[in-house]
Amino acid sequence: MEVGLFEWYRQPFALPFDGLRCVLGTPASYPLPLIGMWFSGVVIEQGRIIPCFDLGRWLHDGTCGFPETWFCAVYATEFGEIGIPATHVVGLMPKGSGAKNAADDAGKMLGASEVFSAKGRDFPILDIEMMIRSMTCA
Amino acid sequence: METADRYLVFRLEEIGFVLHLEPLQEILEEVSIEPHQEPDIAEITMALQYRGKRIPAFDFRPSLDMASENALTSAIVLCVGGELKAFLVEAVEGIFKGGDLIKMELPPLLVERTRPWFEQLLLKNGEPLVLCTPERWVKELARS
Repeated sequence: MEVGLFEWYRQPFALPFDGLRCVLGTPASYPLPLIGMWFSGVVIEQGRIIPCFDLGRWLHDGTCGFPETWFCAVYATEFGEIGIPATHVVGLMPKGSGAKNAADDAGKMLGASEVFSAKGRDFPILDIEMMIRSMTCA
Repeated sequence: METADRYLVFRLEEIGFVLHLEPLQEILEEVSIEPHQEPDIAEITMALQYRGKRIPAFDFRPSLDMASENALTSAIVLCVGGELKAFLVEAVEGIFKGGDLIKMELPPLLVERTRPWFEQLLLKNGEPLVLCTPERWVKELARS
């Protein structure tokens, strides 16, 4: 597999498959104090605490927190595992099933330098580690 | 009740917190909060009457970056550093054996934000509860 394709409401995005540990369907989520504006809470997965990224805040799309039904893509980074929320799982794409292209301005606004073009759409490939570094600086 | 290996679970704005039972003196409901006349720590602006004595009362929500619009009317009275102090809470959920709780370290990504207030969670029936360490929290409030 090359990438996982997801949507957060109307915003498509992709995650490199190498870092994708699992995708959880509507896991119980818990807010915690002091974890900062970029995290909407945590989920517990097999005895591990997974911080959940507030993707709506990152996208400035007016959403926040967790919808009634959602998915949590658990993604491994050099900072530890992080949960990326999605409202829809579009698919897991094998190598060669799409093309990587340079991101346009909209993709760059999300912090993506590349998009994965498949199914007639462009999915900005999120650079989660860069996003975490940006949060730490914010 | 034997306090060793027993924990009290309380809530603030629906988030669960847990503390060791040893410093607990009493759980109070429907408390009347008064202004603290001569606080030794500037941030402690509240007090309540407890067995004929006025003791400082702490609302940790602002320090924990939590909403604090609703008045808290329950309190747990603790002996902290040899002195009685009241921690204002939304609700007390109960007292539980340590065996019912699983201790977990917060991942580094979160610890760098939550330290020095807390670094551990205790899992109870799958729900993570924030470990409250009263002496440390009072000291931190004084420092903040």
